[in-house]
Amino acid sequence: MSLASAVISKVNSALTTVKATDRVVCKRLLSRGGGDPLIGRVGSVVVTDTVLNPQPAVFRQPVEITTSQTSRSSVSTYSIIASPDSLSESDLSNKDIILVFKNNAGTLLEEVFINSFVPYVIDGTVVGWKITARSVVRG
Amino acid sequence: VDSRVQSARDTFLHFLADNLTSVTIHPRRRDANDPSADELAENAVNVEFTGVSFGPDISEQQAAIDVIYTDERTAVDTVAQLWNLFQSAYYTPLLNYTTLTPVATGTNLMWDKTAVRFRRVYSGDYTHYTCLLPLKFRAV
Repeated sequence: MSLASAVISKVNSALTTVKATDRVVCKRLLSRGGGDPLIGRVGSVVVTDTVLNPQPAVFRQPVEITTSQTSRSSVSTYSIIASPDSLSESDLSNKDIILVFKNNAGTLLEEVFINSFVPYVIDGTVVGWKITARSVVRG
Repeated sequence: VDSRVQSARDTFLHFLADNLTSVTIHPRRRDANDPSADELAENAVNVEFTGVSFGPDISEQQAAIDVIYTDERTAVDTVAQLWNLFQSAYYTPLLNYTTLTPVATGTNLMWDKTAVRFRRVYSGDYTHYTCLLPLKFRAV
């Protein structure tokens, strides 16, 4: 096993053991079709959710509180440490992939857009990602 | 049915995209189903709608037009295409795009073609020209 593979294995193990998130984090692929995209009238939007495995470590940095008639929401930015086994560079570069947070029952809690991603590299191989993301839709 | 201000935005975007077919028009808007919609696009004409004001006769919607290219010569040529387009007329029919087939509203979307100015915005990353164009229309 190469050094990078060994480190990725350790990263996966650590993320699974620590489980530093109380959400179920998924990547969501958005497929828009039909309508008139120029003016933002899309005919249909199909979403495909894939649960990240291992789950990443998620750190919330609240920036604003908003309220609805029934609850308060924390508008946040997120720092996320993820394994390259759960998110590839093509996933992170894909402008139609976002991250979504769900509870254990599968209820959608939040949608976040990926702002930036930085690789941790060992021996020429990505062994982890540091991702910053921003809250866009709050449940 | 859309408000007239929504029709003004849709009409202006189509006026640009339908007349400048070799140019990528990127409308910047917040869209939960389109992560890159509110980001600046390179090698494109970015259009963002900013302030709006309403009057009993004429209302105004500001359009911020940002021309961003990695190649300066292409940016300048695109600015010239926009300027020529805005000089070719001073209005376009205001259409309602609630359905896929636009419906005429019987009024026009207008701009002051003598007031089209493109200002260079310094950037070390790309060539950037910006123009703030007030669009006039009847809101009622």
